[in-house]
Amino acid sequence: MEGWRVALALGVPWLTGTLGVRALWRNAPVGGWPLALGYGYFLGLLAAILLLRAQVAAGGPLDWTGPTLALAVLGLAGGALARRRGGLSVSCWNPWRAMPGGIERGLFILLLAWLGWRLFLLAQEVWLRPLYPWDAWTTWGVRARVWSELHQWVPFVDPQHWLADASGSVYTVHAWEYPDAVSLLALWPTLAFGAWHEPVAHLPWLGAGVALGLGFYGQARLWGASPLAALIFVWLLLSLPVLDTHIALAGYADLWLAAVFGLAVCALLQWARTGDRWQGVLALLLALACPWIKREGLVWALLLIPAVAVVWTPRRYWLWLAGGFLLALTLWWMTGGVAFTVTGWGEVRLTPEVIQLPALGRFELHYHDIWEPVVRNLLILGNWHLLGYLLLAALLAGLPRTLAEPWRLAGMIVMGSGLLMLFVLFFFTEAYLWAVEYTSINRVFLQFAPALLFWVLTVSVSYNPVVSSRQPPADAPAQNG
Amino acid sequence: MAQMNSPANRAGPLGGLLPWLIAAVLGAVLTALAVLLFYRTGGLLTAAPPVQLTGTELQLTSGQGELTPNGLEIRQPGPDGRGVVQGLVQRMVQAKLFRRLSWRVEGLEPGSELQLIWVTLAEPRTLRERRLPSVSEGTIDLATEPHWQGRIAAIGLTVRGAFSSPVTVRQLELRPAPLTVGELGRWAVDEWCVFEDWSQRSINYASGAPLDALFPPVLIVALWIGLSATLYAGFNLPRRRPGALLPYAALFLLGWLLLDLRWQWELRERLERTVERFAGKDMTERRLADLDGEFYRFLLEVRRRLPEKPARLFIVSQDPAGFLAGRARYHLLPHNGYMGFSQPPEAARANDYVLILSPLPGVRYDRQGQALAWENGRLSVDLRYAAPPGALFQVRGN
Repeated sequence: MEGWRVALALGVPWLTGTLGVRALWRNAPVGGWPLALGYGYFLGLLAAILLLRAQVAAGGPLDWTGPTLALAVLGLAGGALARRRGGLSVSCWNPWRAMPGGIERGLFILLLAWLGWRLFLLAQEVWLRPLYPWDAWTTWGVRARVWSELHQWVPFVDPQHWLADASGSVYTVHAWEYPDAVSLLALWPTLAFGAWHEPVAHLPWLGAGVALGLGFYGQARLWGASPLAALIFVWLLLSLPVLDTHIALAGYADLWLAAVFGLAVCALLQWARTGDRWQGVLALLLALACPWIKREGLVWALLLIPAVAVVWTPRRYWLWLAGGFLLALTLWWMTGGVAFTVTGWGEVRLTPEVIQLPALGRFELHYHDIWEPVVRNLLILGNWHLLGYLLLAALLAGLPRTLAEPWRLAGMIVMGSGLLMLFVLFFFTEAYLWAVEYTSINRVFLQFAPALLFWVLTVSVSYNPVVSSRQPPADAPAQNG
Repeated sequence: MAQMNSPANRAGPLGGLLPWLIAAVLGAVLTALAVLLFYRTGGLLTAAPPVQLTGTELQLTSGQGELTPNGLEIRQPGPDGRGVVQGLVQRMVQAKLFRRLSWRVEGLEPGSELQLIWVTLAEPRTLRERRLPSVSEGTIDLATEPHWQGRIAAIGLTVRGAFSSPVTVRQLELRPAPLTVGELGRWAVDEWCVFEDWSQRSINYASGAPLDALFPPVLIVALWIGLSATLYAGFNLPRRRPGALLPYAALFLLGWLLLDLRWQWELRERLERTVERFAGKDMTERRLADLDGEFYRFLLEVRRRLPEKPARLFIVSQDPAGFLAGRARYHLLPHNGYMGFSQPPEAARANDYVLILSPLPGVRYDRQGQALAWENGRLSVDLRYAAPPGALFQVRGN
């Protein structure tokens, strides 16, 4: 019985999210179903925990049934809408239609089997191993377990408040101010299970791996990649050892941020290329979720703004845009930066010496020469297979054509600003120790890896007009490119 | 991977298969030659620089003396008649590779006895010894020493003698011994077959081989792809035609597959151990089988002494941010615990609980006075449970 409840708690949000995303498109674009399944998983689960938070905030119980029922109703509505718009056709799901027989089909099947085996191994680790990695049992899992075992929403406060509290009704963890989405994601299936059970709490991590692959595949197909090429890129993604590790040793937030930000970037680049407003909506929704998953998610989300600005700016003004940016940067440098207070948030300080953001902390800027551990982690150790080399090749291949189309520039800006952010973080702040000690360097890079890989796909797979399984109506957004 | 989906690509790879295969095979041969050449012409010292322990990196653990500009000076031996100097090998080098030991000692008198001592990562409590020639400077090869194995965690010297004048240990050095072509080949195979189970560091990185590997798989595969691609480009000068980059993409994907095969093997091996350890067990049994199983057993006893309703719990330990303190808090949830204490907190109130994790220097339980006592502090408590890993106390009301 518990198993069925857990299946409902995970399945209903996933199905609702899938139908909701599927209903966005009137026609049946290639890759539409995998895309919907991938994006639907994240949007559905995030909606579920958002509803759970709202239910508690409204004085309701910490219980899964209310949000699940609400999502079921939404799912029915989404399904009906998708059906009316002809989006429930599964013909576009069949990869064989777009694939000649012979070697290509054989490779596709082999690769699919290989990925299935990989996920099967990871699933067994998730199911058998008690909560293992450090931050999971010091932070994310602590909150989830307390809420799950008490069946009650108890606040987590800073240790000083906890010490002074006479009621005993507040809890504390060292990282008490971290966002709560990841703890809620672990909590969600255990509410349905009826008790804290770590394998059940970790199931969403396995689902995140699968859904990331599906969403990535769908977007790759929509971009114009053949089924085999799309699946090859999914294999490149799901074979990354650090990503696999974060599925197997479930409990960290980085996999979620990697998936949500990565899929946001996929949708953003599709929107930049085709102008498809629903892709823009997907990008926006997922970007908004990033700060809820991890504090640095705010920075990742903000990195998308320059890319959006480029897409919105007519090409003839790009030079002005670049000039304005350089001018602003020069003025910022010459005036010693800016400092201001945001009411209710705190002091923001952006100077050549200090970066201070209330949600993230204060970073003194000094150069640290840490090329050796950075190069070792990205290009020599087994963390990323050959992703570092692929990235270098893609940069060389992509740079000459950066200004050819708005999406190319948008993609280059996302990549460039992301890599610049990582460079500043590791080479100019105290976070350099994360690289020297081999701690967070790969976890932070993981947050960017799916986005990087999709960008590599966009510069390496030749553009093909999106093929629909049906005759597209005139307003079909996916046909615009 | 460019233009992988173009129809024109499909004919390309078959037509160019032979040069591609030749390039791949020759690329592999060239990679092997390049790496061997690198290591046979002095590259070994770049990839595996010597470990040198001098003055500040050495400690006097038996005897009396001091650090001087020349090195660590031993003036008098310890109670057992020996002066003992040792230092940590931070890089934990592999004994099999770093087997050349050199020493420089001044002031040795005739009849003095010099011994090398060391401990390994696998046996940190077992001190190994080997007699050295009693000369001021020397080098030996430890290849035949049976206990010079695994990873070396610390090395040192013991000096036994009259000590009529001070003995100064200037330097200890471990260098990699030159490897023959055959040894390098076996070394590469060994490195690629090294298995490492999940650890607390796994979430941060996956090294794919020993961290100090001489043949890191990713680098070797990248080198092979680069050389093979260059050779292929030499056979088929790049032209702007559909599918021209496909052979290069195929080389890249083959390289990725090789690395992924190894990773899959490692995942499967890890899963085997996970299954052995946890399969068919309920959650309590799984936790008992986990890396802190014995500690969890102690915490099960602690939990039995805690009330049914969540209580406020102060976890006090020598390392408040450490592994055991954090695991104690997690395993005792939903009791309202926090582990950021190295002393019992003044803020504790009646009916709060204090869990002391041993050892905790400076804090003692006054059994007669029924109180925890420490410098400038005292807390009235009742002892609820005590065992070697720690003790649970309940704070008494005034």
